[in-house]
Amino acid sequence: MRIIFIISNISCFFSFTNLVSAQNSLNLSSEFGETQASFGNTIKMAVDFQYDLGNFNIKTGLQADIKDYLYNTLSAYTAQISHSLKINRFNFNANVFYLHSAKGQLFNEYNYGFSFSSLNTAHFDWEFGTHFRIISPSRYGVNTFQLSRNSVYENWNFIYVIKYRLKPVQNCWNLSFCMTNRDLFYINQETNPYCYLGSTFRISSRLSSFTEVWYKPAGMSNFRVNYFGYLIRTGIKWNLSKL
Amino acid sequence: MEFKQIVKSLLQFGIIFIISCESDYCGFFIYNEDVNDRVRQSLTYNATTAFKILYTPSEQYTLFIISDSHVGGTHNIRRFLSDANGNNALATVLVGDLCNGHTEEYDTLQQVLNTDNTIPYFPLIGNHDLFFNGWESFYKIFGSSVYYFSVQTPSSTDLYVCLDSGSGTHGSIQLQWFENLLKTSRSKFRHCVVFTHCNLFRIRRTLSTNPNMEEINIMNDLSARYQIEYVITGHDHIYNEIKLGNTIHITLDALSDSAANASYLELIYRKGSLSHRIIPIN
Repeated sequence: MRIIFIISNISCFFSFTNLVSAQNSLNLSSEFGETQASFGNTIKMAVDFQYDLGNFNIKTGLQADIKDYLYNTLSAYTAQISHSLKINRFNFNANVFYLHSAKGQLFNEYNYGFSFSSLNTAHFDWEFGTHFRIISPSRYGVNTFQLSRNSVYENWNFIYVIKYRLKPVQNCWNLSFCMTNRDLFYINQETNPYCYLGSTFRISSRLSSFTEVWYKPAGMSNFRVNYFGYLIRTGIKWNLSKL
Repeated sequence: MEFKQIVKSLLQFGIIFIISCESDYCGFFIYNEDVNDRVRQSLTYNATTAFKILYTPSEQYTLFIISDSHVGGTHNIRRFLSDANGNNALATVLVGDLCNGHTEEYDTLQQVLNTDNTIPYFPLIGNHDLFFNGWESFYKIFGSSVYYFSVQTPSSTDLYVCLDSGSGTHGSIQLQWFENLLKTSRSKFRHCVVFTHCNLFRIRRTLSTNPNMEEINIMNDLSARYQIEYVITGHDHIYNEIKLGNTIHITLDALSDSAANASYLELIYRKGSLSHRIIPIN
């Protein structure tokens, strides 16, 4: 299943790059971090493709572990389809997404949900939606540790992204601040927000770099906030649409 | 009103709120105490105090377990202790939010536990217990917030681990201690049960929070890898029971006097296996 997903991603990428009307981009990133629960540092790499087709935007991504206590070579993959909408003068995106996360070898996490997000805003980006999570023993967990096939379901988890960009998006550099409980390959429970400071810099007409520094608290909504961890992510975005 | 004026007003309000804050809602913003500091203190305490072993001559015993007693009011906790003592419970476990952090509430709780109770009890710390510098009172009265105890029957011994999740995370030092305990000692025990205040899974919408997903993934992995039969928690105030793999995750009802569905849990060892049942208070 995973191999089919990867092959279809790569096929889509090559076929879509030939379409004149499509606008495509490729993000490559690496991240380094540590949390109270990571038993040391974690290092991950990720790639995600994004392609626009008219009013639709399709995003797919893969994440690989380089170093993690719950190591898995391919630790997550995701797919999202967005459709731009307009009600009166209000432009926004409607999104549906799927995220598969395999933290360690014993359990799989299946996430799916939908959201609405901002479109073409000057400074503020937002996204609000809901998601459903299923945590289940993996085949390896069942076969090796004789785990029973009992799963946990978390439903209607509120997801949110609130982001402020200092400069308009067209600016060659930018700074941003974001509070959210979701990342491309990770969704936290609704009462556990993380925040990050981000920067982007346009290197050329097709290439830009980005950096994010995340701060992760724990226990905020219990009125007993505690430091939990940090993450530093850096990467490049390659605009493929002008080939 | 301009955006800058709005931000300025919010900042001013926030600063005044934090400075004048009597209630411990300040804990939403301000980092009062660190879980790793509490764990270091607890492990230092443990080094001078042996972990308890409860001996029972029979191949059957029962632990009586509650959570979220939020002492101020003592009607329900007295009823619980009366039931536990009257039904020959081997011990009681109090899974956090024992009170709301005030010194006088800790004093009341200690008095109730000393006068209404003759059997061993094992208290855990919850987020409310840390309010108003409550850790000082908890440590003074109960000592460590991270420890284990065991129950020895004629045929074997069972392991019961008590963890500190009062700050919404167990912290790196505690998780390393916990993993090391399981790695070195789990095989010496028949059954293993873990108690921690914060429930892991979010089954219903509440304002209170659970550990972050990175930590939940670690707890799930350790539970499966080291055959933890039960993870018993509180915090959510509403009973819930789910099974992930082979581990039963139980979230207890609140026992506080104001709780509509106050209850406690009996964890029963009989004929080689563990089982449980809920006993309503009202």
